[in-house]
Amino acid sequence: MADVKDAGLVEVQPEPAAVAAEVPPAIAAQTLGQYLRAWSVRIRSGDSGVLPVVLGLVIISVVFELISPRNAFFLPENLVNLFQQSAVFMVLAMAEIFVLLLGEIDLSLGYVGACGAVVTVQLVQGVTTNWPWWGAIIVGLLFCAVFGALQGTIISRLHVPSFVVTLAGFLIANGLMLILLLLGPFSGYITLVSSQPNANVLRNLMFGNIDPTISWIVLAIVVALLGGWFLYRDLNRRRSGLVVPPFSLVVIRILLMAGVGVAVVAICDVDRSHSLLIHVVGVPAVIPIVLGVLVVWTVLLQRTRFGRYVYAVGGNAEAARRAGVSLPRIRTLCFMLCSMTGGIGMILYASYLGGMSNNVNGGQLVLFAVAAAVIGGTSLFGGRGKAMHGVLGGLVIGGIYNGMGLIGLQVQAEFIVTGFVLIAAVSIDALSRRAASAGSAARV
Amino acid sequence: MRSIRISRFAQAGAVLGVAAVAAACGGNSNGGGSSSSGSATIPSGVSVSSFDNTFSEMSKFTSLTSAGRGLVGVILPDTTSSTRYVDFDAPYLTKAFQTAGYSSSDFKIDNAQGSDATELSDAQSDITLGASVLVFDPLDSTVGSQIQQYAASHGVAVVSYDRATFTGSNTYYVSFNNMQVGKLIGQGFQQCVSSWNISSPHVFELDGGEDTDPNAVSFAQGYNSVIWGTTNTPLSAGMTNSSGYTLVGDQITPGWVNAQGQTIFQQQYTAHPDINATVEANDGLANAVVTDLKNAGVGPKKVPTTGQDATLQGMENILNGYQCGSVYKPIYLEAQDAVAVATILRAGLTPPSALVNSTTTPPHGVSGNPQPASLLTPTWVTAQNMNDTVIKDQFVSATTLCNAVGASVCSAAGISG
Amino acid sequence: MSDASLAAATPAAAPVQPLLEVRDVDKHFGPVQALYKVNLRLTPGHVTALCGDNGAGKSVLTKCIAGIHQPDGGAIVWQGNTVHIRSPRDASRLGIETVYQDLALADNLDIVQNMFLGRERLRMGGLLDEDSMERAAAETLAGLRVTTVRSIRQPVASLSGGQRQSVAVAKAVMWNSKLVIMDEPTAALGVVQTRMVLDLVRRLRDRGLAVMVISHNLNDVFEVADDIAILYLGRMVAQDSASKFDRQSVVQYMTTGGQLRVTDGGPASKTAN
Repeated sequence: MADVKDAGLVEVQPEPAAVAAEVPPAIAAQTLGQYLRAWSVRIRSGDSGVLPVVLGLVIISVVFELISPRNAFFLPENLVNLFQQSAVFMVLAMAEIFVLLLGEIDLSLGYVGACGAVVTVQLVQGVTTNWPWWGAIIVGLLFCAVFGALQGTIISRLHVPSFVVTLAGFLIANGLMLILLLLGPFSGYITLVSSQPNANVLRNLMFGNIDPTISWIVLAIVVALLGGWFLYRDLNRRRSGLVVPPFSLVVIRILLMAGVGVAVVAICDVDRSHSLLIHVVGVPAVIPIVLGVLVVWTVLLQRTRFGRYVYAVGGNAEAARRAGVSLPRIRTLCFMLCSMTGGIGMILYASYLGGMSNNVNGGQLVLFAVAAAVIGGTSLFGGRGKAMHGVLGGLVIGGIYNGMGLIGLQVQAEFIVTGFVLIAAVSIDALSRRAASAGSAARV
Repeated sequence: MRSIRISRFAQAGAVLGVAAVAAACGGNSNGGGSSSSGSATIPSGVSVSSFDNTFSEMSKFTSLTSAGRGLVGVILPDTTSSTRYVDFDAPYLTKAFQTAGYSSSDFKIDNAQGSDATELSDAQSDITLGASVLVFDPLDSTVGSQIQQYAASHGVAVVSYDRATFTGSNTYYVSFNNMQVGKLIGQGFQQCVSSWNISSPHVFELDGGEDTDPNAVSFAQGYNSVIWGTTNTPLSAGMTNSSGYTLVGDQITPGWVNAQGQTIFQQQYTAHPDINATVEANDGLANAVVTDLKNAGVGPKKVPTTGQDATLQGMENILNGYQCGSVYKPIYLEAQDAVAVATILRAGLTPPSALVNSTTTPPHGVSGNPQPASLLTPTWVTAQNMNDTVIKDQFVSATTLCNAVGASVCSAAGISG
Repeated sequence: MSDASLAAATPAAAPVQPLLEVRDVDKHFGPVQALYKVNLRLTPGHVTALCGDNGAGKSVLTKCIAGIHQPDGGAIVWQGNTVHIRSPRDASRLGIETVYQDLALADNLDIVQNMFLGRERLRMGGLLDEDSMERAAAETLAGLRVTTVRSIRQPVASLSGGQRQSVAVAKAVMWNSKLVIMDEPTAALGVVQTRMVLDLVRRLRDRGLAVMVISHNLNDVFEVADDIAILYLGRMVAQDSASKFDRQSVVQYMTTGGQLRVTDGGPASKTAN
């Protein structure tokens, strides 16, 4: 657009600060210095992006490191535990984000996902069906997808509030889960801890460790491919004169990505065993699994037509409808994807528990999923949120639980602290919305 | 316990950069394990019957405790299924640990609050904190297997407390002998039948939740072996024994649900009004039957009922003459036994056979291996020994009990409250 | 109504074929008759202001053209052919775009994303072709000389009212549209922003588009309109070159449906009754 700047401007007005504040710094700046300035303006105006959650994570980690016995929080084995304990929250939060983006909510997520997980765990049992693990996972996820699609259809075609439909779904799925648990000769407690190879694969989704050498090689390949692609895309856009962030920022992002990767692999390569005879090393399989879900859902939401429509429906459903977007279709698909992702999360839960039982609190898991998404920066009011928010928010909730477990605080205290963190996150969400609407009101 | 870490500065930098996935490289921590000192020995003569309410046996463990390394992590299952975990297990375990010479940083007691995932993450935390032994009461067999497996893969010994875990090869089980519990019920029932002068007993048995609970099967096997001379369960009607008993019916109560038990007995009593003696697997079921009997106008000491757990309700029914007795399983015995086994394991030694006096085998339908077990002997509580057992141990509050049954009934049993 | 009614200021040369003609259109909702045999001509390179009091039928007429309502009688003629516009999609296909008062922009999406909403370009593999869309959006905005936005990658929420209107218009003209209907484009704007939008309207006209502006604001009407059409209680009471009206006559048509005092230079014809 630089070439038309002097071609008879309509009206160049001084930029009010509020307007400047809402422009993503990455597109408003040419240099890193400008970027940082734009960023600080934006934060001061209330739109803080992922800053609160990252700050929260730092505070939580440092506090727990200081007060935990043995200063155990930053021990490599605890960080691995932290990731394993947070993984379910992360994936469930990523699931919930699909419907939160529409301004809807799915309360049934925990139990629907649990049903899918029970189906999967049942199918691999050697004494009954003895399915291959991949077939069992597919059928489990399919179950969730169908359940979610049915809920979405009722919500979008009959215009029933999602709160009510998924509350009904919560009860139905809870009952179904108990029925599914009691199938077969397991008295309701189905285990993955066995010598069956298929059950072992499922259990190793969480606890299986990837050989350190392989981890380093895979990390190097992934960083090289992703970094190269980012650079290629950036240079390409720069050449065609499209909007690009400062080049140094691109480099910093790539380096940050590589740094996180190296840190994770290095942490995981420390022996976590307490015995001299046993070695527990390597990246747990759950880390690449969660990253995989993150990448696939990020691409779906940010880079496909479907994802664009999800944001459009959440931002302005009427505008999307007039643009020819089928609202029922998008809504149904979102509820379907939400439930299916919930299935992934609960299969990880089953892997964590080494089976399934009736001691699964699906209601609490949903609340934590919503809380994680909102803490991560997703808006409850629709239209704003990313899959990444689920990962960050899940880490916050996992961190609280992990740290409180280290210092031996009971669940009561954990509930209360999580509640306060959630209130803080929702308040930040509401405040940034208010700041935004005050800004646009001032400009009219 | 070794601990290799990089500087705090590196930690802080990594945290700021990557949020929570940061840390120092290094930090290998070895809790205890097999590095025990040779000098300390297991107190001689310790057995499952060594423990009592004075906790004196535990003080013999102090040298063994100081020879051991690492934390003992205790994880109790919930606070809702029974108040025992908060009211009794946690304080008794603490007392046992302290008497055995543990400092407060040597043991940690958590409650999973009914959540499988919390129970497992508590176990992970304990191991991170350097646990060499885990004592856990599994919420269910699913999480029990997983914790056992996780601990074993980290070189940590496990004691399965009150509920058995059948995975691994050395998951020490500490509990009361369930078969023995059943036998006490059977013996108590027979005494009651004679002391209440029940002629030609027509017996109805209300079993526990054998559909989901392997313990319920053991209880029934215990009382059936005493009364009928068979370990089958449930038995078919028409069975008789040499003392002239006749079995009118034997039914299980799905999931131990008392309300369901009440309906079952109501229907059976309507169909078979000749029932004049009953066997119940716990106090809750006994109370369900007592309620039915009272509704049918049956007075005290007419139809025997039995139970276990020494609940307040059970004690009331015993004092009022509606229940013969209840099996009391003093939790302080279980707590001391668990701490004794854990202390021996923590020192890298093998518990003696007088302590680990049995094995527990997975019931039908449950996969796994037989595990070494330390099984304690419970007590049959009647009006005669109530004051010396549950009241003295403050397992049931004398004041509450006497308020419920009246002072005269209480003092007749020698209870002042 | 004749070609002679074209205003002198119109740059396009007469005679001009009408782009769209509304002929004797009736529309009723149950017993309520909203439009009575309404006629309207929209010409390329002309800005037509559609005036009328509340309830006069402006939005019903607009929605008939935009494909949201179907007329009960009469015909809509597009470039000489009678057409049936059954949906907004049909209207778009012909080249009719409507900018509603609410602008129908998603605040959380950026300018490019809004301009391409519902018509995203894809690359191989089904992913969005952001680069191509961004280039096309930039070209369209530059062509309309909408240059006050900092970046076309900023969310619409951060734009001023005039900028939002500009984005909505740019979105409408992006698709080779021939007729742009704008519903109260200046209603919520301040003086500077209003000027910006009116300039934009003129620029559309200069590019040879037919523009219909629905407005209550007579200042804007006289500033930008080549033709004025006035609805009164569902009837088209006047349509003619803007120079044939003055403020007073427009108000009288709007409020009474006719002129109480016939003055020289009044409308040459009444198109309906």
